Amino acid sequence: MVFSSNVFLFLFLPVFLIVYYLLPFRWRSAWILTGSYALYSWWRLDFLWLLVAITAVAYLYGLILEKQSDGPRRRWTLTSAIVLNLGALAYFKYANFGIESFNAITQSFGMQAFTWAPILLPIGLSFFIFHAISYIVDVYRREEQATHNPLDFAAFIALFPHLIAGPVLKYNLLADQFRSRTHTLEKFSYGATRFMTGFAKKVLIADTIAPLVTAAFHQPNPSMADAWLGALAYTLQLYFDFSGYSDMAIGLAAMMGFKFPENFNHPYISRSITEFWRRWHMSLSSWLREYLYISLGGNRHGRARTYLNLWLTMVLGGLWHGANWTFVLWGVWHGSILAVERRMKEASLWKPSPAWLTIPGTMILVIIGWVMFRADSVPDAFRMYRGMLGLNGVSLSDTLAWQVKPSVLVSMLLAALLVYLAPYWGNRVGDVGSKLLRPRLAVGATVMLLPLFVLAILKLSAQSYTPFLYFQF
Amino acid sequence: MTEFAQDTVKSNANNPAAPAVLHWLPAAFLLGVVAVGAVLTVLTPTVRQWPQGKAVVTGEAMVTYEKENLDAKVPWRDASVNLWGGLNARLFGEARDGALIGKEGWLFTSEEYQTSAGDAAEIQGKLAYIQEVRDELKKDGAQLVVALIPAKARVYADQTNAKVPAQTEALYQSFHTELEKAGIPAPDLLTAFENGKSRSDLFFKTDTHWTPTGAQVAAQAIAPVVTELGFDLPAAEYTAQTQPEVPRAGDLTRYVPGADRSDLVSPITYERNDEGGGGLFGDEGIAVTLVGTSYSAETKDNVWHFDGALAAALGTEVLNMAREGKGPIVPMREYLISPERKDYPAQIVIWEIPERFLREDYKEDDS
Repeated sequence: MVFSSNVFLFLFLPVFLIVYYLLPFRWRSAWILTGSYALYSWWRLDFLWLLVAITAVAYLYGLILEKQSDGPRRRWTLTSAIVLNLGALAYFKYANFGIESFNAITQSFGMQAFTWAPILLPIGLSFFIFHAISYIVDVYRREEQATHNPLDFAAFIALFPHLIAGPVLKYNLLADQFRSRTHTLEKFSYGATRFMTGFAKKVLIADTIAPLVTAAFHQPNPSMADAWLGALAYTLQLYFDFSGYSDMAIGLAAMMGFKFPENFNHPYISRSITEFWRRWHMSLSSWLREYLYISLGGNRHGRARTYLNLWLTMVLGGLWHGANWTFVLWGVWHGSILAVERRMKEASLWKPSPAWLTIPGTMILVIIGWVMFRADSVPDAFRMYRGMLGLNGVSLSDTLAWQVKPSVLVSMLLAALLVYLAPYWGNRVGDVGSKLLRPRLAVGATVMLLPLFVLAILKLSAQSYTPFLYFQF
Repeated sequence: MTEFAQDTVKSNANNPAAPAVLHWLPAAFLLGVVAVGAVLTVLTPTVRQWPQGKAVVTGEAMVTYEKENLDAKVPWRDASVNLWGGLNARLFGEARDGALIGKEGWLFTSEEYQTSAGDAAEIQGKLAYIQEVRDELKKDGAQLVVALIPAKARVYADQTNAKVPAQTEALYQSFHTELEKAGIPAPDLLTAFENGKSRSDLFFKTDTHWTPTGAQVAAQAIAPVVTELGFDLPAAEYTAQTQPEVPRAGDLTRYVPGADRSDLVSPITYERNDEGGGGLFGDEGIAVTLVGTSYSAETKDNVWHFDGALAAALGTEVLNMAREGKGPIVPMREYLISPERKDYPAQIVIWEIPERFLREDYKEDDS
């Protein structure tokens, strides 16, 4: 069940909120758990056991790790917990990929392919496995006490605003909020604003651009104009789709009294790839830093090892997004650039450059990465790269031209304006010197948002079903 | 890597300078919209019904419920489709996905524009299958004639706003040449249509199909090709009667909701006027069988009566085995195993194939 659907908006949400606010506080975790499991089961009831099992295993490991004293035995306990969780992830997410890659190698030597029934990937698996691992590692590191409240813990893992596509949260961020949180009209209103904003971003912009992206990425011989138009369209679609989803998640959480951290902070105004990763999918990069980069040794073993760790973190982070070589290469691309930037900074080769140079420069690197991220296969991505280099001609192909609709171009233009004006807008609204302007801008923006939300609901009914891009991860 | 911004939420709740209206308006609005939507949804009869015979455990029932009982039936669906369709048509001159708006009220199906990397292989596959059919029919002593209908966007390219992709520009002629090389009789309907365009519209402006005149022009172009084959076909005479003009909204108007578009059509009916007419149960038999798509099939929306036009042009009765909504391949497959093939053996089988189906995969639901 996606947030931008009739079933969520008009059946699930009203029932959930009415019961939630009628119940006394001590029953609300149980209701959150019930609602979240119901929402998960709407996809497939037979995979609910996996969510329950991951939760139970993490909870029990927390209790064991809390009691064990430091030493090799405790380390083995942690290792077994990580292996269990990553084993589940590997089986459900990467087994098909592994077998296919293995078959590709054996078949290239003329050997027979290994036959096997493909395994279904449970939605949200990557996210709730990461939630479970972060909890186990935090207890192991003694940064967090093991919880003795299985209900709150299960509700944390399953909390529906972040269950399917994040943000990736640490338990300690929400543990206190499960014990105590406020519910005010102001907080609910803030949540409603964020939810409606995200809904409009997803339905009015991302979904409008999506058909052009599909058409461009399926061009057999894309021209330079085709390839760049498709790459730019995807750059905008992905941001509005995923940040829209995150807005909705943050908004829904606020409507339930929770405070989620931000997941995006105007990533496309970054002046370097290092900065980009401080602004894009912030909850994931934080998780990768704390649980992967640091576990690999971080920057504690010399420069060369630091670069390698940085690179490995991004490669594995890439693979986390999906079982495909495209994601691995996307991770290689970002990891390599991060390592180079780090090296340049340490060698004092990094000179401050003007924004008009660094922002477009960073965007080009990001867009090149997104092409690999979006392509169905590595050869498909290189087909797009050949197009971007102009090897198939320069002007728009007539096989794509008829699909470049004015409404899509207008949506792209609006999206680009929002990407580059919103940070400026935020500064103006937050500027102490503009006290007179601030309330008017805030009210104006909200008043504009309300009809846009209704238009988005109507568009949702008018268009065909479009799942969120990040659900595949 | 990054320092995680633990909390960059700028809550207006904590901002004393935020206008008071923002403390309640978004909540009230969202709750109001959700409440109204929920009431309207629950009042919808299908929403209170659960799909039968679908598995809950695998989510099959939920998908069916959501798509068929809920999304397709919410009371504001038609209004939404009309609103967004109208907005896109008025602001941007766009139809919904599936059609393109041309000049002066002409609409075109996007199927005539679609291309993919596998087109060449698919087209070769079609050619090979047509040859297989030719050989199969030969076993009965029957001759295959292919009536390849040119794309509407090709015949009326001057009425399109978007150029048809170059890779399909030569498709009609090249496929026609391939048919000739394979020794399969195939009238050049493109030339016939280009010559007949000045007479009247040969395709409806708002429909993918041909007009009664278009069907007539095609039939008259097919007739000499059949005559040349030298078969002795049982004779029949027909009278064509033109019916009064009526407005007709074509199938492509579904892609431009909210706009009042229609064609004016004078249907032509064909009646046998000689003393024969044994039909299926007569002695003289039916020597010509027509297989094809909705351009030929007997359906309630068929006002072009291609089978009648063909019978009149050939001067013989025609057995219509065309099917709607199946593309050209499935009806032929069905015909080849049908009892009609054995019970009423044809001398000539005319297979009507719209050009746009040459590149499409065989699918049961092709229309």
